[in-house]
Amino acid sequence: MEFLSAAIDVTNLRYHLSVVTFLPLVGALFLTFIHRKRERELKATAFFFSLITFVASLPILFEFQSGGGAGFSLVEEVAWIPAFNIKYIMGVDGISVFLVLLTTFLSPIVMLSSTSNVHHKVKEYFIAMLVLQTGLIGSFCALDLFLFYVFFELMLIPMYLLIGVWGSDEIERREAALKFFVYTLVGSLLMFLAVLYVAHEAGTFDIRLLPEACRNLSSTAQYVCFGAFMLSFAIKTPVFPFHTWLPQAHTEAPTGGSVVLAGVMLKLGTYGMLRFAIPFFPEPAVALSGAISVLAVIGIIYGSMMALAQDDLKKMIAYSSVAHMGFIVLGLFSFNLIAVQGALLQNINHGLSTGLLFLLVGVIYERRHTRIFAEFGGIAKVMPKFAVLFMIATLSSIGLPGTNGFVGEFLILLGTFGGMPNGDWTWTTGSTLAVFAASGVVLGAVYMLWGYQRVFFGEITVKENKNLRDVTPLEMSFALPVVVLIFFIGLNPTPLLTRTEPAVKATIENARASAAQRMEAVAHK
Amino acid sequence: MDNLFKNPEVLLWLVPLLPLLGSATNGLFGKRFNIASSGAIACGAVVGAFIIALSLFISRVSQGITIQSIGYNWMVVQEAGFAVSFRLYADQLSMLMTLIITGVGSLIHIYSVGYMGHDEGFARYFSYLNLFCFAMLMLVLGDSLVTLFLGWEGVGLCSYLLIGFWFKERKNSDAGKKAFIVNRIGDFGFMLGMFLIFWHFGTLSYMDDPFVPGGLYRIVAENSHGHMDLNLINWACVCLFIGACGKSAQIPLYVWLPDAMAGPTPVSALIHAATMVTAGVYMIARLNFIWVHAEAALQLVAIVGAATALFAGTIGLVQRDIKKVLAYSTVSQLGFMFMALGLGNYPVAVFHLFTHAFFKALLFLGAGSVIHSLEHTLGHGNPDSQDLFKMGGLKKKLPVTCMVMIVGSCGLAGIPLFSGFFSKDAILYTAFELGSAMGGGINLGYIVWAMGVAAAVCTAFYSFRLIGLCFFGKWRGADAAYAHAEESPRSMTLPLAILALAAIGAGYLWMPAAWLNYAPFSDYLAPVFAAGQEHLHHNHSVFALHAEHSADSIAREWVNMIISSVVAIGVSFFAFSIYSSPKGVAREQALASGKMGAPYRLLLNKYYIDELYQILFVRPIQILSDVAFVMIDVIFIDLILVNGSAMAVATGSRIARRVQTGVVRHYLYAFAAGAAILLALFLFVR
Repeated sequence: MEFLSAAIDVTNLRYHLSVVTFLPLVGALFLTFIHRKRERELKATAFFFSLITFVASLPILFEFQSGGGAGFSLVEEVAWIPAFNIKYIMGVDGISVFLVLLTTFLSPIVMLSSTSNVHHKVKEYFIAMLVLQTGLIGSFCALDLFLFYVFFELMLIPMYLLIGVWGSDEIERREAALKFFVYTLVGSLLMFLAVLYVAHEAGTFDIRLLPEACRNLSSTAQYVCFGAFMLSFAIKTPVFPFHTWLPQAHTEAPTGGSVVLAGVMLKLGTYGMLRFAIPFFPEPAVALSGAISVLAVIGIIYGSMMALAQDDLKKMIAYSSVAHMGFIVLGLFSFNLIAVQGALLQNINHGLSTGLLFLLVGVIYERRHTRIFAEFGGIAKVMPKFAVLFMIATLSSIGLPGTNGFVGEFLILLGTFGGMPNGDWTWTTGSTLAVFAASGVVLGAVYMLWGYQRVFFGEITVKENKNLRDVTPLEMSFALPVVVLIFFIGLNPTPLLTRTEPAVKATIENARASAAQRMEAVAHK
Repeated sequence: MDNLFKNPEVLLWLVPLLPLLGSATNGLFGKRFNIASSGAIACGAVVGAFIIALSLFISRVSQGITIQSIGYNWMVVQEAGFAVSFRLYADQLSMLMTLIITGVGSLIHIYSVGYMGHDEGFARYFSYLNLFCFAMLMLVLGDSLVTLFLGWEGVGLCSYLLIGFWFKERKNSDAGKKAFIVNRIGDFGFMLGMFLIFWHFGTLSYMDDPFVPGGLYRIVAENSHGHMDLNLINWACVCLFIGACGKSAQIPLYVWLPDAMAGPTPVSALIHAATMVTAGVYMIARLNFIWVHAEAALQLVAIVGAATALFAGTIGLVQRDIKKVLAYSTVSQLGFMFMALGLGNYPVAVFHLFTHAFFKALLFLGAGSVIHSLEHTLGHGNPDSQDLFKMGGLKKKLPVTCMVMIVGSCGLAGIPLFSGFFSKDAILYTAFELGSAMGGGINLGYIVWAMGVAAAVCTAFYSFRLIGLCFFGKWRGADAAYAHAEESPRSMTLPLAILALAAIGAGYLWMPAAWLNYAPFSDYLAPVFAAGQEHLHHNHSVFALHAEHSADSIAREWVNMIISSVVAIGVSFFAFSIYSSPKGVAREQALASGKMGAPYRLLLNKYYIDELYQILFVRPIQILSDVAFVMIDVIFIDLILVNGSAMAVATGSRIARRVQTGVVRHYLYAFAAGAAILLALFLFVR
């Protein structure tokens, strides 16, 4: 690591984030020159590019100024469309840095897993994957609202194709892809209108200036724009009741698509809330936090119950995402520092645990070409290593202490329960919401353990399951890094928490302060 | 390096980490091991932990020196003043628990080598069992409620894995799942309790918190005169108690423990009798300095404990499965411990935990020895090997097992001079004494006492019913099983013998004051409860414990002791005389089919509580989920709202498309009409 940051220093790489963002795109370009028959080369190149992207992204962690407080690091600023004051600005702070790293960490893993389970149109698949990766990293790094929007839309097409072309069921995958596309597009178009309005009123697209500049908006404008932004992010996250595209998209998406979708893409929703919706429009964000939190809690309980009703393993995990993302939204809108910290950490945790779950579902799907519970049972006998990996992912998902999932859930619930403390602690709506949300912890155990039991325990009833091969070295190689992180974050989340804290604290305190100010001003009138 | 490992602050970590290492070794490389090496690693890890713990006990804790280990910050949110550190704290209470866990744990590990030797999954078994020891040690040694919770859920996981160890059978994995989920319901309460404590006191650590020096101990002590929201503390304690009800199998969350007997018998001995299920008792004793402020919550604990003791005791009267009898007796004995806690006598609760660990582990291992000897012929997992009605006369075949089981039963039944007598008697006396202190006729103390005595009647009855049915009378099962039954190997009988000695001797560490003023056990634990007691004495609370005994209280102790001794001996003798005779089973069956049929069936079916829960909770949630999935998710949201709006757009555009006829004339008409309307608006609206 030391020598890496030294190397970066020596070359004086001023465009570090751009390099990380566009390396995958360069890789995609490379792929176009490789003949489609040469699948090994295609796969190797794609893996190579995602791997060097990961390596190149590591020094970000060291260059990133954690002690420096809430500001952005590694900022690059270049004029782009001067006529509209649109610039190319990149940068990271505590809120985005680990999401960037999560993306670059999961990408090579996804590429590795795809080498064994993608068999047709290999070239296009990996090109789509690499383009998707650029879109994701770019979205987390962009500090210009227009640039963000470009990256945000850039992801949409490759993901649409991943579901529609490489999906599992001939007919249903088209519907799923279309639903995903239309759903997301409707949300983001509304957001685009709001972006244009806000930028016009504020005179800038610069995300660093917008929180301040948006203070001049009228209350009505704030509420409307907040609604537009939130709708887009609520669809992406997804928040109940905008979630029905998700289970469908997941069941149809190929393994790699599901991992990226659940692991990273959903986080754009919660990232957007904390990066844009809350700091730009603090008044509606605070005023509507109760209603949004209620939706989040409904999402937790309802999502868990839906997971309980599934007879398809992958669909069950997809619905569990609805519940888990509910926890994150609940934490964000509690405006309590502990809870928001937990929510941000849970973003990463969910990416790891659900990412691993989808990877493992891919492992069994590749062998059996089914994900229906009734087709399984007794798998632990023939695939013991697989059973252990799946158990670890399950435990992380249900938040067992010692795994990463616990830390996130615990901080979210603890903080939400506390509310916005001021002097002596008293019971608040937040406390009531936290009590309901905590019941999700019980339900989580119910559906996950039931699901696990139906797949792994009992006698083997289906003939094809008798001779399943256990995890291959390749599969082990992409599952193990995730397992290591699950325990590492579970036992030592402090390095992450201290790096995210200054930015989180500044964001929520500014939002609370300016919301209070505005509300007071309204009261005076 | 040498010095590092002589440092108790470092050495303490080895106690939990050795079993973790053992677990990892067996888990990762177990495939290559045979039973001897696998067992040696697992036993070595726990015995090693025991030896280290013992050395720390002798050199430090027994001298009154507590140990705070090195550690690091687990979670920190700096500006919110929230931090939890990963650190161990060994005081008199946690050290005692550590010694029980590693001591009894060592014996059970050794016993397991013989018991599980023929099972192909032995490496997996030992990996889980070691992991359990690690988690349980974290539970008792951790320096905060969060590290306690880490162990708390960790032992739950190991329990889940071990109950479902033979996962091919649906029944077993169901039982494991049930245990985990019921425990999670308790943990839900426990988490809320932690939240209330954090937001009230600002810390979750007992001793060490970077932002709150001195942790809960100091904060609570400083605020104990005033500055405390007693209402909130009562609620916090009730929430924590919900957690205890889950882990320690109290009403209404006890239902998982009897099912947990699906696991291997040594597991039942270690996890579901001696250690894990006492975690709730430990937690309340650990936090006694907070609980002393929560009188209402304590009364709830006393009543729930007494009710559980009696309720489970009655179910135990008629069970036919040898392990089920012991399981219900465990639930019942845990009820006794909570009774003591609820009445404010924490050291006595811990004392009963201590003696119970020995005699109950002994009974389970003895039962395991019986089952093991019958399974040879009957086959593994055959329910007949656990059916008391199909046993009898095994005394001749299994002399050592029979002997130690009688010792264990004497302890359980509270026969004078056996360990259970001392501890159970002390609990009943606490209730009796409190009853007289509270005054005013029938009060909490007397009610709890009466329930306790009734529960003790049940205990004595089922203890000796078991002995009579199993070892005396005539063999009632398949002939071949009896013919081939033989005493278990040395690796199993040796731990039995050691436990039997402990089951007799443990009680003498705290003699009744009426007999002798000799109580090293309570003297040793006194510092743990000092702060809480000081507060109670300051407030002249009836719940305060007194070192001095007046002549009156000594007299009451004698009365109580005589009543409970007569009950224990009389009922034991009665039960034994019925069931050791060849007609015992026939008489019980006559009872079951005769006039007493209805209440008998009620008990046999455990008051139908499982069925009730099934109807009240399990089914409705399943049905609601299934219905909501179809009605709300698929039909309402997705079909009507989402696809509906898409359809509306499609239909709308289909209609709108008609306008685009492509005929210029139509466009001209439209243009003219539009112009006319605009013109009209301009002219008339102004």
